[in-house]
Amino acid sequence: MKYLSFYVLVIPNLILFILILLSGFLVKNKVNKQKNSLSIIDQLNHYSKLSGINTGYKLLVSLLLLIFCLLNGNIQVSILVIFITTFITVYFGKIDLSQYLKLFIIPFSFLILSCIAILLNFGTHLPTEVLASIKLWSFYIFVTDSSLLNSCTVFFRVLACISSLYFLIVNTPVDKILACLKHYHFPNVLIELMFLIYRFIFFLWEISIDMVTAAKLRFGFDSYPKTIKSIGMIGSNIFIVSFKKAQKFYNSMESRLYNGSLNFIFTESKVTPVEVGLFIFGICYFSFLYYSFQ
Amino acid sequence: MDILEIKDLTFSYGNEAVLKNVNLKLKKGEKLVILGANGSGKSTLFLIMNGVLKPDSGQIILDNSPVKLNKKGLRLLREHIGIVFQEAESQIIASTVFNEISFGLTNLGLSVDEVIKRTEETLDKLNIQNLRERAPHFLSGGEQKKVTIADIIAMKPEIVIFDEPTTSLDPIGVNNLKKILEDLSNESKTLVISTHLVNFAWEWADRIAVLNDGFIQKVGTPEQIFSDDELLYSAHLEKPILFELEDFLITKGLIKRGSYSRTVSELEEKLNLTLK
Repeated sequence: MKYLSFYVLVIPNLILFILILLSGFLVKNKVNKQKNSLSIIDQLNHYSKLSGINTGYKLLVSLLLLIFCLLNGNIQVSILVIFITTFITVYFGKIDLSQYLKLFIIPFSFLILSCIAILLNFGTHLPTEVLASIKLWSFYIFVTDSSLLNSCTVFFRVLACISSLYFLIVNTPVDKILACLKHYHFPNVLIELMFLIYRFIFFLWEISIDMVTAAKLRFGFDSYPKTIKSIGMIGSNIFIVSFKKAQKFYNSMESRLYNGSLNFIFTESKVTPVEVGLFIFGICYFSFLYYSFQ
Repeated sequence: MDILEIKDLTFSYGNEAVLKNVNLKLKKGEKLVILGANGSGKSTLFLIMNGVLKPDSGQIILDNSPVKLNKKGLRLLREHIGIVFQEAESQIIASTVFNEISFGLTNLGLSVDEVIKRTEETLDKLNIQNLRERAPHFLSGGEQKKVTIADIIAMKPEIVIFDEPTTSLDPIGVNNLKKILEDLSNESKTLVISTHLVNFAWEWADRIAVLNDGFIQKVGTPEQIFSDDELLYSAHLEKPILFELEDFLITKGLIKRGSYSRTVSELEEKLNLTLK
């Protein structure tokens, strides 16, 4: 069982590889900004003023919010959720707004792509309620009322879901979340995987940024063909590096008697009456919203 | 008394033999330096001593009884021997310093109170209480090194192995490291350091083992090792500056031949004596 995690450590670089391919153009100019946007999560959640609040409480709030956002199909309500979570994180958590917004860059780029796919329809005939259309030879690409509404709903729903998860992630150090999950008997293997993958995403990201910088200094990003070639080489390099790194990481854990279960110690604060009150108020408020906007 | 003995150890990655018949004895409380050029097999040797890698053949003898490399034996080895890895980045696992130090302790199966107590102790000992809630990945190189050392010390192993501890440290970091080593040595822990810095080895070591191309070429006091020109040449090592300087001063008749001085201040005293 414990070797499973070792191999899965290599998986994040697959994700990363795809990310890099997609952001080929972005990387060309914005290396340092990109670095900040990802690795900053790990820094932010230690400085958040809300990191002291009971983890189980935050976990529950963010899960309920997530479920609510998935059920809710109303754009205004989604925007409200985004606003509330951002407000809490920025005002009470004392997180810098621009840094918080930067975290949305990566999911945002994926989201835009999928919304465009929902927005556009293809066909040989135009339906009646069409908003705009382009004719290409014998078929049309067109946007309808319902597809526009659909893609907007999806767009804000996804943003609301992301922001309710960010509410948890930005305000809680990851090992606190995992310790909490462990407390509630979440399977050990999954916790281990989550933790190691989380660690490795940051690590691989930083390594890839260094490689990109090194390649840039040797004119590897001068033209688009060169960019693609360099990115390919960096991608394959990351495979090797991540494998070696996983090995080293695992060695050091083994030599400290690691046996497949992560145990971290936390002193959790109790949930205060004010928090309970807010929680009940929140549930009432959101169920009211849900029923009145159905 | 020998606390650990390595007997006829061989190890290879595939067809490439990395360790060829290594024999080494560690005395209790000594400061041993394993000196070898890059790629001579130092790190591999350490991983075997800790039971992370399984040797092709050979024995590890702990306190006069051979260790079987089964689950129980591995635990025994890892409780007695701790490794501070070369790259702090590949050792650090938790996201706060406090948790990082408690990682090994909880794996030892200690009670929560005991873990907290020992972690606090270690934080005090290395004077890093101010870092306790910081994220280790964002500390400076020297601070990271301290945290990784704290990781291992907290588990209270009898033998502490440092794999190339001076790389990536600035001069202040190296001085801090020396102080920590001094303290550990006073607690009569057995310390093993791998390095290729001859000057560091000369100043610090009780004994030096020269590892070259997968086998231990010579074990002896620093004087024995560094006066063996042939050995130094074949193992791609240089003489320590102090050692060479003192030899030169002796041939010029400025100092009498006696025991060599290990630090600059010792040499200064000797010179002062003759100059008066």
